[in-house]
Amino acid sequence: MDLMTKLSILGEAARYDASCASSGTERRSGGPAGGGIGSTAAAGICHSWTDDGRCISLLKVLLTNHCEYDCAYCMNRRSNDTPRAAFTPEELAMLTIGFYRRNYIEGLFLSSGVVRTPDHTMDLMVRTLRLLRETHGFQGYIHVKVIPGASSESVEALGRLADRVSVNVELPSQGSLRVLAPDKPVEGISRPIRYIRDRREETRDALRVLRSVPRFAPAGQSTQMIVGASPDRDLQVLRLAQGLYRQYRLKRVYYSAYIPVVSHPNLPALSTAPPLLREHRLYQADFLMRFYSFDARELVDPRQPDLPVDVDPKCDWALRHLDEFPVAVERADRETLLRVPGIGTISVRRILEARRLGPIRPEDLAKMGVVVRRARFFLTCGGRLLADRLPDPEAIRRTLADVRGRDLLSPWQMRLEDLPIPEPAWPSAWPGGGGRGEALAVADVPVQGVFRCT
Amino acid sequence: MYLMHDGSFEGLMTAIAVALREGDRVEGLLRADDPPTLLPVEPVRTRPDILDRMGDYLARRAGPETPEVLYHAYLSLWPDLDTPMLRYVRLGLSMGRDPGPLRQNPDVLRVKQAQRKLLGEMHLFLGILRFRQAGPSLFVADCEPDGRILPLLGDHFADRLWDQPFVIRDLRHGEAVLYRPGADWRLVALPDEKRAPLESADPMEALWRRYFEVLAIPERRNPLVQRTHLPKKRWRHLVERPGAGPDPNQQ
Repeated sequence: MDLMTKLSILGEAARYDASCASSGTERRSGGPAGGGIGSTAAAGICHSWTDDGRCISLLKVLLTNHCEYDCAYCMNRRSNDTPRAAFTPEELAMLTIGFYRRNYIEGLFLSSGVVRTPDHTMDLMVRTLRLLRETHGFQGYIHVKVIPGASSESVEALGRLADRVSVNVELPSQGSLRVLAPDKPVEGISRPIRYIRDRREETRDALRVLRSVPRFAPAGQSTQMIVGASPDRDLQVLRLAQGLYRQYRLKRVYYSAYIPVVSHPNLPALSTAPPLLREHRLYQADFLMRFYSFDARELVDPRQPDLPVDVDPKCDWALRHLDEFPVAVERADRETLLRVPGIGTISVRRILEARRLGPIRPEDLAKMGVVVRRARFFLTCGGRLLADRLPDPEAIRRTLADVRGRDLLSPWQMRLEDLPIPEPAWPSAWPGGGGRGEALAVADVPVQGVFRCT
Repeated sequence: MYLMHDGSFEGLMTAIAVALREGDRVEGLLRADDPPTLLPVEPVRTRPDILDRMGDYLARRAGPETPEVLYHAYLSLWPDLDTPMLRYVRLGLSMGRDPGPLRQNPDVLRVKQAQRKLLGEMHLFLGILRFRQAGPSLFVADCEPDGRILPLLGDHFADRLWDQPFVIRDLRHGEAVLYRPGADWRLVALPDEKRAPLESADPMEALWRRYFEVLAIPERRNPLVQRTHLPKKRWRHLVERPGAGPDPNQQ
């Protein structure tokens, strides 16, 4: 099979992995003394954007799409009739360096189907990374996906070679995993996540006393879960994500709207549209947890287990807490300002810096990057509310709702054509006979999700 | 009085230095290629050693970031920015710090916006610049950026691809970065006869184009978001073909 065909098959097979980051490590090649070409930038660099609006940063491919597992949601599942291919480590190293020299990519994102056993597959991946790092001296970014069930030894070997390591939790609850990915033991997912966290903490501690310690996944670990393939609610998704951030120190959790790639009795029908708006709302909530010091429980709770559709989660929170507003742009502290709709991390920084140097007038807020159209109901400037009057909460909600066209340029690949999200009809094979609420109870999952981590 | 400089960064900094010495008598700055004016104009002669001296002075008396802000704003090529830059410097000196955060001030806002635009464009091109193999050991990349980003790109690529001789051509502003292993990269003017488009039969290009196509998920097709990040005017020098994939809605 020629390289073009392999690249087509193994690129297409890898495209459902949402991660695109090349961030988290800053490394210069060091020139001739450094041993090889390549560098990394702390902020990451995007190299292109495909027709679905997602960025390309790394050469994201599978080593092979042969797979022993039969996960229902996956196009590479054993029982799916799809063309199969495999790269040799030499081919992949040649492609990576060839693309890198032409500035198409920041590095390699390597994942794989399961060949024979998880550890055998990991060995093949380690061999590929060794060839790149040691034989070719490649110093660019490498992100590698751990195969669930892999031993600590093979995770260790990958962590020493890669910048970022990730283990996909795949689904937000143990029950869903059991139904849809019966070959993947839950422990086979959580064990490597714990191992990577512990090794990173060890390395960090050792660096305090020793000058040179072998690095271990310096750009940290991330994960991905599919939403919309199981009846799990946003509550479970976000609590799990929060636990992964707090207890397991993950750098990123990616959410992937399920696209029906195969027909399966336990999955939404092939005609179901991917829940892109739900995915978009989850990313918004995720950013609120990571950069705006929101707690998952402030965004969703058992009474309201899903994020709202009409407004973003921050607006929704603010409208439920109108008694805490308006706040004064001259005095409010950072945490308070961050909770105002229409104000983000950059505009907060600008406000804090600017107000030390001089007074801020209402007309200055837009210059700081504040979206006054949203902030006006929640912010005072010079002692006066920015809006002419304060309408009732429902009217504010209608004003702030995402309207076709207005928020279309969101970076999260949402298409507002998808509004409102059609609820998939849950197939009867789900325990309890479908329906999002019921299946949750029957799926026998603690609300905390796979890792019991709230 | 207005001071007129030759349009180079050295010229601009000389004019700012003279304006600081002359005080309020200088109302603004002009460039030699600006349209003729009836305003009282006095030309300044560019001093080649001005950058080090003004850089030190501004870093000490305004803020350590001030010289860089001015350089980036200058490279943005935004029109009518020289006088706001002069006022930016005066403000910084009077405050004893870099005035960048004082966005309430219209001059500060414009200078900072120009800087941000330039740095944003620079960052974009760190990713979308495409090298084509033009010979056994030469790689050439072409671009047409809005601002003059080449002076800021040299270090990145000369470090990352240090063993690979390359040329980066800015066809819009007629300048180029030349790099050869073992030597520092240089910024040179691009002569007209060196602007010819490159014929490339690089086998990697077909592989990259194909990869780019298969990576898009048809069910998620979203040309608007694609163009937000990668505007059409940037497509010309790419190897891949954005927007060429099948549209499931049209079938």
